[in-house]
Amino acid sequence: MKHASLLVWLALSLASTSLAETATWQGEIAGVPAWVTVVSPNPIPAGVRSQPWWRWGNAETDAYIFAFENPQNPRMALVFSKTGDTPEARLYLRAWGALRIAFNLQGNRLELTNPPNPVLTLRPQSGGWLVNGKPNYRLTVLEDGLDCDLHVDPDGQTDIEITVGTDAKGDPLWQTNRRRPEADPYQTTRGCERFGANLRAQPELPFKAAPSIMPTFPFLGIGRESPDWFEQNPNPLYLDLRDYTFRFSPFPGFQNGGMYAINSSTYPPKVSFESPFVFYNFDSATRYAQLVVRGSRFPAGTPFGPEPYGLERTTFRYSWKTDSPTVWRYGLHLAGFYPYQETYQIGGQKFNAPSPANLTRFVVGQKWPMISFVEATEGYPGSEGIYFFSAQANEHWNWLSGTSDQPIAELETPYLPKDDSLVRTSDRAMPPGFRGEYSASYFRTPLLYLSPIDQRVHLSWAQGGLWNLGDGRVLRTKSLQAGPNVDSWILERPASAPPTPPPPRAPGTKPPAEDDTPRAYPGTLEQALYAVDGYLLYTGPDGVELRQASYQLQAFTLNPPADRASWQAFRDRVAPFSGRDPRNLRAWLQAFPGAGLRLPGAQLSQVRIISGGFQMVLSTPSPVSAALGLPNLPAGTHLLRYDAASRTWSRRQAAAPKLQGRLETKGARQFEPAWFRLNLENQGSLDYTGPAELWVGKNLVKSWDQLTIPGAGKWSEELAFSPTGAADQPVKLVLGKNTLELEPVFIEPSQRESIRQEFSGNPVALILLVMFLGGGLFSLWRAWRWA
Amino acid sequence: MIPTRPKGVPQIQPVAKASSQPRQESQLATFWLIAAIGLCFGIYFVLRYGGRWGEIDGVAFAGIIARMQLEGTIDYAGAYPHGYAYATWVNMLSYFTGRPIGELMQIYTPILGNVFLGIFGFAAFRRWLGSDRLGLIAASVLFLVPELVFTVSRGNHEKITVALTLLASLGLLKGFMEAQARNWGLFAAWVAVYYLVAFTLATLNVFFGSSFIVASTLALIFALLFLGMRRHQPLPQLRTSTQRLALRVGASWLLVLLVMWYIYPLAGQNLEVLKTALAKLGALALSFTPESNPYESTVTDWTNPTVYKLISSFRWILFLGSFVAWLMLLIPTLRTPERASIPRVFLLALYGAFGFQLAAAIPIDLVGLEAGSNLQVRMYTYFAVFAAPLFTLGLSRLLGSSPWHWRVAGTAAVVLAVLSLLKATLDPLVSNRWMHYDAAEIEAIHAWSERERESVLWVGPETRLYDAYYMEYNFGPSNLNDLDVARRNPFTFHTLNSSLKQANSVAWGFPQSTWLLGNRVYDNGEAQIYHRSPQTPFQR
Repeated sequence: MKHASLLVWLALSLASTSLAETATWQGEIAGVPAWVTVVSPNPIPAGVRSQPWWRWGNAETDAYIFAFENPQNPRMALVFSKTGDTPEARLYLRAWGALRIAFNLQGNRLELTNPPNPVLTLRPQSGGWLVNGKPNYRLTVLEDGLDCDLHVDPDGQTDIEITVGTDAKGDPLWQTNRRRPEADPYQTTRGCERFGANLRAQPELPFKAAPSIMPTFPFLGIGRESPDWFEQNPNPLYLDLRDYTFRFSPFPGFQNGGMYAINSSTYPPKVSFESPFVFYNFDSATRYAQLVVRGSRFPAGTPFGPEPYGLERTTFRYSWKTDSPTVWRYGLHLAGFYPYQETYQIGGQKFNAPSPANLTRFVVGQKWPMISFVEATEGYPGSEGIYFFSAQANEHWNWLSGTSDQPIAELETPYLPKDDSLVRTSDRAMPPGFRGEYSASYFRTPLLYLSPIDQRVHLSWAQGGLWNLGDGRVLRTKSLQAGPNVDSWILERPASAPPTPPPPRAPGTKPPAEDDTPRAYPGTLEQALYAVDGYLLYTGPDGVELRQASYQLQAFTLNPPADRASWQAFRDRVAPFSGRDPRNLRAWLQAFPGAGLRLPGAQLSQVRIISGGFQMVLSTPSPVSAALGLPNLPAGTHLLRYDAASRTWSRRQAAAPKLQGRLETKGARQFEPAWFRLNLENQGSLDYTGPAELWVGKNLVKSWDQLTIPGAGKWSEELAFSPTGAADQPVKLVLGKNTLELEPVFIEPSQRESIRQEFSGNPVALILLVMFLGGGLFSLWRAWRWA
Repeated sequence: MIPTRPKGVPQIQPVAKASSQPRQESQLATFWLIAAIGLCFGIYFVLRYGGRWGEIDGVAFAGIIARMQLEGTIDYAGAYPHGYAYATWVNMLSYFTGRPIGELMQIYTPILGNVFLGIFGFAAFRRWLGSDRLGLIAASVLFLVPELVFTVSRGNHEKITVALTLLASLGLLKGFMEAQARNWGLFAAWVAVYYLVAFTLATLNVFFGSSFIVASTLALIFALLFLGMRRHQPLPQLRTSTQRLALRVGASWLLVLLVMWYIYPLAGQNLEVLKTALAKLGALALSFTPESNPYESTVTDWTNPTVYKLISSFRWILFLGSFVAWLMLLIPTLRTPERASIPRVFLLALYGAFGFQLAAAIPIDLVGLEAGSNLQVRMYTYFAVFAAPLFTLGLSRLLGSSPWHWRVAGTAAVVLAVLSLLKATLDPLVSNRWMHYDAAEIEAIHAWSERERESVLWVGPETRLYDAYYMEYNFGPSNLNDLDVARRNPFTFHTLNSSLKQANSVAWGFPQSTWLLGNRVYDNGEAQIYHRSPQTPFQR
């Protein structure tokens, strides 16, 4: 190795001193000592040797070898040639800049030996590298060295063909990348990018790109900077000297505002994966996007993405900013089965996807089966939107495809990571400062509203919601009425384990890594606020406050922004509302004056909607005088019912839940499925709420994480079950630590089939069988007798 | 002391010959008798379920054979990695007779397999034992081994492999005998037969087909060790035979390598299996933690453990009987090798060698090879083939010349034969793992498959109907549909019910799926297809 370096150094020295066609410029590039050896068929006049290195040669016939830190560290070679009037540039890198390249240089004959093939070959579609003094962005680029998405050394076979087109001003307008099928052995087995496109979908936004280090070849950059797309486009070809990594960036732009991209794991027209990924800019003063729409799309039959592959799988991440240009504030995540009907074209490539103009309506203008809504209450940086608590998670497809009877538990009990770092479970997680709501059976057009109670934006018709306050507490929201608006806020400290322990793992299997991440399991209630039938009901450590007040559950509805005007309207409407303190629910009452009743030391629980009103359980340590229409209440626990029509309260003494029940069935037979009906009656006035398991004999029929039997009420459920026991089978309902024995059920025994039954339909077969059996046995017997 | 005789004369005089009124049956009649036994057993196997049976090896081979027919070549992607001859043979039968593969495998080849077992067993044993009658009894003993009857009846290559192993042993023996008798023409003919058979065995299944060559190699090693210990004794006959055996073994291995490396390189994968087996055996020796338990299903597969012990009883009788006979013959042979006949020495050596292979299969099964964890069962059949003549020798010694003894033994054999057939056919009287099916069940699956697309049908917790469908059609359901077995695939929305499936569920003690309370979307009177009742907005 040492000798090889010496030889290289000797070659460079000899070339620069004794041969006129080859000379090495020495200086600094971006503060790093650099040696640029220019190999030219033409003499390099002495006069230019005091000028910058790129003036030593041209970008049509000459070659440039770039070494950094010392002359024995060549990292990149740029070799120009010309066919007719068209120049061509070949860029040689080893491990995409990470390793030194090797070459032989004899006179002006340059031979690259490692790698022998270029990773990039660029040529203008017509003209030279510059047109009217501006870079000629009408280019064809051939890329070699991408095995699926893995960087490998180039093998001389083009992997990806890239075409760049321009607008009327000559600025790059679009770029398409297409993997050549013959260089793709993984067409149905690996989901790498096979087709990509980048389009400046808002061409009215000014194009801005970093100046090149080589004005004669205006696409090259060498330096020590990270790209900042929100300042300007970086040089499309950029060697970063900090860690010798080479970045090959899209010519028109990347994730800056106004861009429309396709990153497809299948070939057009049926594009898949990130198709499209669009960055809408509604504020031309910045290059940021204010709305990002990221499709995740897998047409039916595409062997990538979540199973089952036979379904159309179309999901979107839809995030927008409001007050800050750099952080995302709100996000919608939608999942469903819509195919892409529209055909759109970028360059010469036609594909099925909504166009930039139609995409937002496609997403927020139609009904979706599943949805989640997220607010980053403190904002979330990045260019791609809000990833968390997303209906885009692959795990939802068991539910969406009908293979699971339940949506995933993470909707109700998401992961609660300690920060917003991206991990495998982020799409099912609620980091600190994030709040979200969901509906796993939405089937509506996305609609938001602002609640005047908490002054927050909510998803209409959400099935539940949660805010991770980051201090070990969460604020749950839900609609007691199962209606469009949130009417209950419960501040609680989540439990460290689910109410029903998960089934034990098979021995030797490791628990998944995410098991270490806390979840929002139902925990200890600290405060709660309910808004029902003109009452605001607060309970917390300092007691209970009931307030009769005038309030609305919905201040106004909000459509998700879909264009500049609706985005501005959304901002304007929510700007006056800064939200209330989620840790102090009692303080919320101040905004709603009205007659109130404060009950220090009291506790409120089991608030639920009943026919014509609501009911609650109030425990008070001292007697309560009649107020707010409530009757006098002695100290103790009371079941209070409110009738909204007559605006009257009624009271019952609270009695602990007392369950009785019966399991009924008719003609159930052993091993055969039958319908059973479990009837339960709660003879106490308080609700029973807790886990439950129904056992028949040795069979667990069903378990409930949270079974609620209303106080002084009845409950019934029909259950399908195949019993394995026969005759009278004991029935028990295990309610946490208590067991309720029910009457046994009779199961008709099943008998094993006899041979008579088997041949009852075909006695001739039995006769034949016996004949041949007899023949065989007789022959055998004779064989033994002979002995 | 059992007397020995020089030069190819059987050592034990068939005691039956000494009976007071020996029945003089012609060789031909004896042949027809054993052929009749094979024929009746084969027909019983087929008729027991009217030709509607399936099992996992049959399913695999039905697919392999059909795929070969489709591809028109023996070497195609996914071809059977252990050999091509069986698939080629069945394809030849199919083309020749015009009958479909499933029908050949379900109806005709089980009969052929049983007949082959009888006649090849008889042909070999009469020479190994030096008596037609002992040969007849030994051949009939083969039918008392349920594993052997099942092996030669089911759909895989072993009906041919077992028969040809017997023929190879006969070829080896006759080659030696004719060489001793200096009948060079016959010698050459038997040598040719032997190598032809050895080559065919290697092309049938390079692993199991080579078991006879492995046994011969082990026999050679035993012989060399023995001769090494008796280097001061001349033992010219044994030394000459050992040299000949060495030539046979060497040439046989060359044939195996020829198949593995040149004729059917796919079979070279067996070397990888061997490598994996050795690596896993090393791991087992270090950890003593088995990765597989081949016995775990034996308890649940049968109506009860007592029944299982009863129908498996002959396995242990054969083990014990043959082993005692082997010891009784081995001891004098080792003491006075100069008086031992070559056939007797080789029979003892081959028995020991197959016993050794069977013993070696135990740890290999415990390490759980990908190729299967039933090597003991598979090797047992080959062991049983060579245990039968020794068992017969021992039995003849035990029973002596009393005709009553033989009648009692014959009656016992008849009882054992019934048990053998019950076990070999997985009869519902004794087994929970049924292999039969109803035509209506297949009709239901087929009708479902024709109407569905990219759908999955759950056919139960065990493979009976899956095997049945593949035996009938050789390939999976059409329209990219799939059959699901065991733990239900979450993408499954349909299930099947039939009276036979219900009866099998009762036999197993499996509760039937609650999906049977769903929508009945198909009913042919005997079998029904149910669609799961939608429980969510996303289920249809």
